[in-house]
Amino acid sequence: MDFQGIDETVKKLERHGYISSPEIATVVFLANVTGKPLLVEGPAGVGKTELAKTVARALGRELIRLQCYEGIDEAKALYEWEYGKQLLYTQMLKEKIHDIFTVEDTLTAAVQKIAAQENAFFSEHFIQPRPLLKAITAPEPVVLLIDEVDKSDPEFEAFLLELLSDYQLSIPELGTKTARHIPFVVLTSNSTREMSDTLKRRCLYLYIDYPSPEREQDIVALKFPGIDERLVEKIVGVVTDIRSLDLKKKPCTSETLDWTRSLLVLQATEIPIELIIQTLNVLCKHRSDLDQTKGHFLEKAGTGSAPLEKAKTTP
Amino acid sequence: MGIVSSIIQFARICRAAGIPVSPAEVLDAVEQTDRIDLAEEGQFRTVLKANFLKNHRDGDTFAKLYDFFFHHLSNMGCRQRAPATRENLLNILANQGNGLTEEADDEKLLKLLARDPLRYLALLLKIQSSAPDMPEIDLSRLSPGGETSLAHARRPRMDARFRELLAREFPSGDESLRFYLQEYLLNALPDGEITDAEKGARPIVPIHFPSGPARRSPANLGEIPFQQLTEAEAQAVHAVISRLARKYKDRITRRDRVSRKGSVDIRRTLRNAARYDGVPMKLAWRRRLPQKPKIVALCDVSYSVWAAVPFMLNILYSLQDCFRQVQAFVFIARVAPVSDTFARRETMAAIDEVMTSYQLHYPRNAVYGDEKNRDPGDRDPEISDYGTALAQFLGKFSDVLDHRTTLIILGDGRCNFLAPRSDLLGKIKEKCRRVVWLNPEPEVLWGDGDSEILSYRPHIQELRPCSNLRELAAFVSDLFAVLLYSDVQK
Repeated sequence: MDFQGIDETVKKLERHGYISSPEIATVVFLANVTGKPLLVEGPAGVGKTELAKTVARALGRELIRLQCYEGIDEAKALYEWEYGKQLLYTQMLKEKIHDIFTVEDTLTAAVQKIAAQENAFFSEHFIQPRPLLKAITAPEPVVLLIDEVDKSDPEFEAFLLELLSDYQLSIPELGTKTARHIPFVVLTSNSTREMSDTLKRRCLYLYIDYPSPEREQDIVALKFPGIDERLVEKIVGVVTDIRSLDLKKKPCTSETLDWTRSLLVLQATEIPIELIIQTLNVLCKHRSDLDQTKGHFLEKAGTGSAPLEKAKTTP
Repeated sequence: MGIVSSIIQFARICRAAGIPVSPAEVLDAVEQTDRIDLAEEGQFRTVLKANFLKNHRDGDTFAKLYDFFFHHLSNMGCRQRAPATRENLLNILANQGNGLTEEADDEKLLKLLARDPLRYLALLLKIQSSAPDMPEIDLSRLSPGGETSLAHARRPRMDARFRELLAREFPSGDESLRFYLQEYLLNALPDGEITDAEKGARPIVPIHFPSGPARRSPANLGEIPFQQLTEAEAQAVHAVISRLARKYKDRITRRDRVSRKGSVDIRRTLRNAARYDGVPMKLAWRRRLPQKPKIVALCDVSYSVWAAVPFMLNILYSLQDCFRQVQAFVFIARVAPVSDTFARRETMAAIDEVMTSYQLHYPRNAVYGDEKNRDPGDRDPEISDYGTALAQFLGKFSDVLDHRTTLIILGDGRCNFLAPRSDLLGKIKEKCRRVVWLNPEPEVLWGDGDSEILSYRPHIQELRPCSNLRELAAFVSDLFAVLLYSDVQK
């Protein structure tokens, strides 16, 4: 089932646990109807991979994931011959092969004969499909997630280009495989390396930034059903406040969720400064960030004019 | 039709503002507008954004351009065509050679522009691309006797007029938008040649070079000391650097491919063979993961070295994909990390930002007693102090160094008679794999006067001059040779 419209996309994504901004929904919808790959960039932890997973759930499609890393090659991404299986079959069919040979007098004739049987061993039966081939040959439409594509080498990127432009792959022994259904391709990148312009040109581009406070509140409320609305507001307020600092790594959406989980475990209904400082390790993952954030909140506590302090007095 | 032509125009404006938009992307965007609800502006905007904007660093520019194009100029010229206006302009242009006074022409043109610059722009675009749906424009009419509509001599004047006009029309204080439109109009003018003076005036090169006297003879670019480069030459050097960077990137890729083979790993091959009845079906290669080194650059940005720094930063950051990480610090007496700037902006823009914040620090005559003269608000003292800088670097930033790090120091080692504290460099050396010092001064001056370079020498694996492009290129070439073709660790 494809998305029928942008409003429906928003609703479907939400039903499957993803609060999207209008922009995200529009781009996802367009990628779906035009069959163009979607390149998603943004800081770590804003839900790039989650978006692909949710799209798969919302469309009721299988998710095929290819995790990229430095040195990934075609054997890991595309297909590999199963030598073991081939060998095993050869062993089992030894006698049969022997029979074929015995009737031949000359070596040449025997070679010709075995060449005629070659196809039996280089068939799809002995191929081990890797994610890309799986996505191309899948009988049903799938969602193909190419995760952290920026970690792969430029060579591999060039290889991906071929796939993304024609949705076909060539296997020398078997010929060209064309996609039965065009997969919904999502590429994610943390911009550790600038992707080539050619790749970018083929994709729709979506930059997901840290969510707006309203959207983040919705996300938290969705992930923790039944949570006190005022608490959510405070949580998001604190996180937004921390993000405004000049940190090495700003807390991301998934860390907001982790923090919320911690606060719920601690059965907190209010967030006094001391509690923030005690649980800060969930949000800040660098020592210098930790110190800076601590200083920031202590300063706030010192002046006493912090809105958080006021919030404490309200029941 | 209206929407299509406005998308095309918007694409052109994006290109003029430096966002590369390919025709394929324009086609995609046009095609996708059928799929959305055009009454919802957010959706329309998203379509353009998803297709045109492929680098989030351009996000702000895009937002401004969009706002400008679709909001400020809401009376889009192409929505309702206005043949009268077009004819009017054509008449003006055509009459230009026919004895009308220049003043009157300019006035008319400017009036037209003032009323509706975009319509004018649309017309210019049409004229330029001589679109097939504009048969009524006879191009020959526009250039009587080979003359284009605006005579060369009058261009500078038109330039000034544009500026004035735009300043009046868009007084929002948004310089960049005004700049884009102006640039665009100037480019769009059907006037092929641009004088050298105008070329120089274009702020393409972000680095502020002292505009020295133009060199008459085309000297060998590689040999000109960085400090004597004119702005145009500096541009050329940056172009050479980006070519160099591409070359090395390619070389790295090739090397990666070769390293996939390497020698056979006997032990693993035999272990694999056990699975196949002792037949080595699958060879295991002794694969070496590419040893990507980390580069830490420490650049002196005081007056004496300043000119060389942009080139150094450019080449390092252009090549950063080839390294595990590139981190740069600049100092005069205090060390400041600048990698954040490079993460945030395009390389050239980042260099500009870094250099701009240091460009006013000229050397002072007073070497001693400088302390009391110093403005307390001053971020950096004006004279370079290597001892203090090294101490700070060691104290605050030594965690960026590890056994795979190559530290590149760019500086002349002129300590202004302050303590060189070369022992600190020794400590730094112990923390990293290699220390390379590049000195933009010619070798004969080393050790002369307050140059302490020789006292640093024992703590440096490599000390080399780096005063011009040739020497910089040689350094990069050797850097790659040493870093990537040897497996020697430390």
